Amino acid sequence: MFRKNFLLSVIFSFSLFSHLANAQQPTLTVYSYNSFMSQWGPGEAIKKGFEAQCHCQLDVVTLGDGVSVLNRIRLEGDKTNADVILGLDNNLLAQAKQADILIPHQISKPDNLNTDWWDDSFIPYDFGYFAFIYNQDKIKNPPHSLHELVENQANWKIIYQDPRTSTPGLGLLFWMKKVYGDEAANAWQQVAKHTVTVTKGWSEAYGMFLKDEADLVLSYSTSPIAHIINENNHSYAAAIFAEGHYRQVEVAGIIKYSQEVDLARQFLRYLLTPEIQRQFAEKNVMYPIIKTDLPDAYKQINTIDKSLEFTPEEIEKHQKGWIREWQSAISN
Amino acid sequence: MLKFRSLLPGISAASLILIILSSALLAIWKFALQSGNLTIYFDSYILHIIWITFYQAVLSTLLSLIAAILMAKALSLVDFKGKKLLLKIMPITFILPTLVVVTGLLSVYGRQGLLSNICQILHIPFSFSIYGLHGILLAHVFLNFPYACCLFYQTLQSVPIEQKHLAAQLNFSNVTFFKIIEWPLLRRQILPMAALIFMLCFSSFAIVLALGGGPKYTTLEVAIYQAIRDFDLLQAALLACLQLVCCIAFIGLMQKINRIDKKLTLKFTQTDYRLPQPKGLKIVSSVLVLIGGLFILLPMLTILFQGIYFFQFSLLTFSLQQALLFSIIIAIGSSIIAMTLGLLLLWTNSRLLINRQPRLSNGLLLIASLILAIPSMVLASGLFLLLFDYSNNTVFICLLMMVCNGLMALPFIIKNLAVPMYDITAQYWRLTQSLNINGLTHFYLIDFRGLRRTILMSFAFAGILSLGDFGVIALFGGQSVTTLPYYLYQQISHYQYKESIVTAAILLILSFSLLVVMDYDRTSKN
Repeated sequence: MFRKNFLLSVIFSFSLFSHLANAQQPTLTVYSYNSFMSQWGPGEAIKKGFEAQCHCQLDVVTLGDGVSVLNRIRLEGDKTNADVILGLDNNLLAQAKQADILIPHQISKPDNLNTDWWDDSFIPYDFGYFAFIYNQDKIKNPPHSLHELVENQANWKIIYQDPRTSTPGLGLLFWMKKVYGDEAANAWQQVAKHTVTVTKGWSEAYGMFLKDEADLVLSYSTSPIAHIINENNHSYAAAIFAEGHYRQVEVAGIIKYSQEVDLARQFLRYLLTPEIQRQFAEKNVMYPIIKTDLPDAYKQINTIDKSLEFTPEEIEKHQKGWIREWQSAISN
Repeated sequence: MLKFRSLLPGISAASLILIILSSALLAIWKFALQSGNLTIYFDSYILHIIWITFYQAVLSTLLSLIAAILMAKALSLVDFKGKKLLLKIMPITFILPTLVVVTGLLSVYGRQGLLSNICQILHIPFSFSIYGLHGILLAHVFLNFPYACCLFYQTLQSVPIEQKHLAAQLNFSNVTFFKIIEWPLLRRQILPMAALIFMLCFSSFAIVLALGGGPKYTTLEVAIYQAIRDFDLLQAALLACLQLVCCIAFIGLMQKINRIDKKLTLKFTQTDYRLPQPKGLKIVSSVLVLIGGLFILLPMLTILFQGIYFFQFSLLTFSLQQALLFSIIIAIGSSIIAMTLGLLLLWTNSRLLINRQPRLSNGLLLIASLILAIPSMVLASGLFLLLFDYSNNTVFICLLMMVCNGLMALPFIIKNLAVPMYDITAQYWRLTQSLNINGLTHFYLIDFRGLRRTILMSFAFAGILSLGDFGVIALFGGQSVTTLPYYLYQQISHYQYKESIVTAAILLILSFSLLVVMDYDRTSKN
């Protein structure tokens, strides 16, 4: 008991001291998802880099995923400490705008953007495409279109994530809707015949795929890069589909209750500098938003030249209906 | 005569629990009503999931119980080297993070798992697919049956030797012995255990999704999680209440059927004595133990071996050490909280039973297990709304996690200790009353000294339960506080798959060593 108290008080006094030491400097608080600050994420380098030039202290509070971050700020309302929210994506924009927690960032669109994506309230900082990943050693002739995957003559086994509980799952839902429109329900029924399982989150699905439970798993087109960088393994590849791939853009914005708007804006600009963009490319394994030198591994993977996306308004209007459509299509 | 003094500990602990739970739920209601988002939908789909949830939970509970009784009985009939070790390892399945359970099971039953490899070598076509209802049942039995089995085994062991001698003299067959002597003892444990397993399976979520083979099998908890994510808080709160009602109804039903008999069954002497057994029974028991043992051990062993295989010292990073430290601190803290609350409740519970108030006792124990019926996301959100001014304070987050995990562990502590504590209190009741032994003195002289091993084991158990949990931390932010399961998920999300297996193995080893340290018997057995 004594030791526990002792340990806690040591930890506590450390955090207290660090606050006192920086009492003179302004503090910028960023809310983000937890993989941002983890040992392998880009957060630590960004924090150091930004603190070196802003004469401020950067606090990063991390929560589960993008949705948890948004909901946490909604729960906190005007009492929030957050100045910047980092880690939402284009599919959450409608929700975030409806929650009315942001102010326009007033940063002008840079010329060297990699994409056509721009928004008044949100700064995009990286993007990627949802794609099905397969092992080249085992699948010699992967599907070349979403139609081919859905019709599935080769009987590929598929694992994907539940759109109700995970971001990639929701991405696939939109992807199918974009390609199949009103025929989506039928297509889902066809997919269901070859689905091994639908998991709560990306981690379970990808883990099961690596355990060889399925031929194809829903992930990002950049996933093979992680295998190349981490373990020099070139077996994994993304199946490129003729219809195009649904795009995910990760964004950051300024919270309207912030007392440090200028500092927040400075931080958003900092996210678009080449060094930081490279951090995202290396550690988030997503494409940088401005033209940047990419690690070599990026040149070794299949690229995507057609991107699909719904507008936030469409998503806001239909998301729940589409989820219900999916639910009833595959529950039968 | 029931004194207010003996009611006080239980009532205060129970009201503390009720206050925490209800204020969390009320906070969500209040916030939802204020925020004006009043969309509620209740369609046939929700009815459908309630049915599915109920169905799989009842099946899982039945299978777990049957397996547990068979295995416990078989274990009591055979002796072999490593039996004690097996009994110690068994409850660990209970605490593993979902991801580890799923990978563990897949390494055995998956497409490239152990079974399929063995079949390949033997040229038997392997067509078993783990996905579907049987996958869910397999996982739930894997998680719950070992714990139940341990408890049942202990119960069987507590049959007094005098009764065994008597049974032998009367020439009881093994069947008669089971029916007349062992079954009445087991029965007291079965129904509370059924209620516990039912609640765990009812609120199970990630496993059901992962092994269900598609959303055909979802649970109500998924709908609640979805509602929280969509920020339909009113919907979430309503569904949470619905889940609560379902679980309370089930427990109520169980308690209706169940009654604790006023019968004393304590070990008087420790010498082992068995009725003479026919050979066939012995063989059947050995086979059962072997199958059960493999069923429990194989998934864990694969994780352990892979963990050792991938282990490198460079993986013991500062973050990992920090996560380890936090996990241990939080585990100890939540054990203390759970133990304190549990002992307070049971103190009153024993006295209620002695004074023949089984209904009050049932109510008290129900309150203790309520927490399992409340989705942790809902609890966490509610607590967050209440306490959010402190949400950036590391010490506070630690304390909160201890309280939440402690509350989660409470039902298990109650399960382990309720019957023994009542028995021992009742046994010495007249003596202690005539000598006026009360309060802490009574606790030390009677309860603690009599049940030291059970109490310590329950303490360790609460600790390992907390090691595996990561419900609350997801909402309160994990930058200042990381625990091992949290770290494991971080690794996976950065494609550090092999490294994550090492973390899983460390979690396993840590849980096991906690159990061994706590169970270390300082006094010789006789």
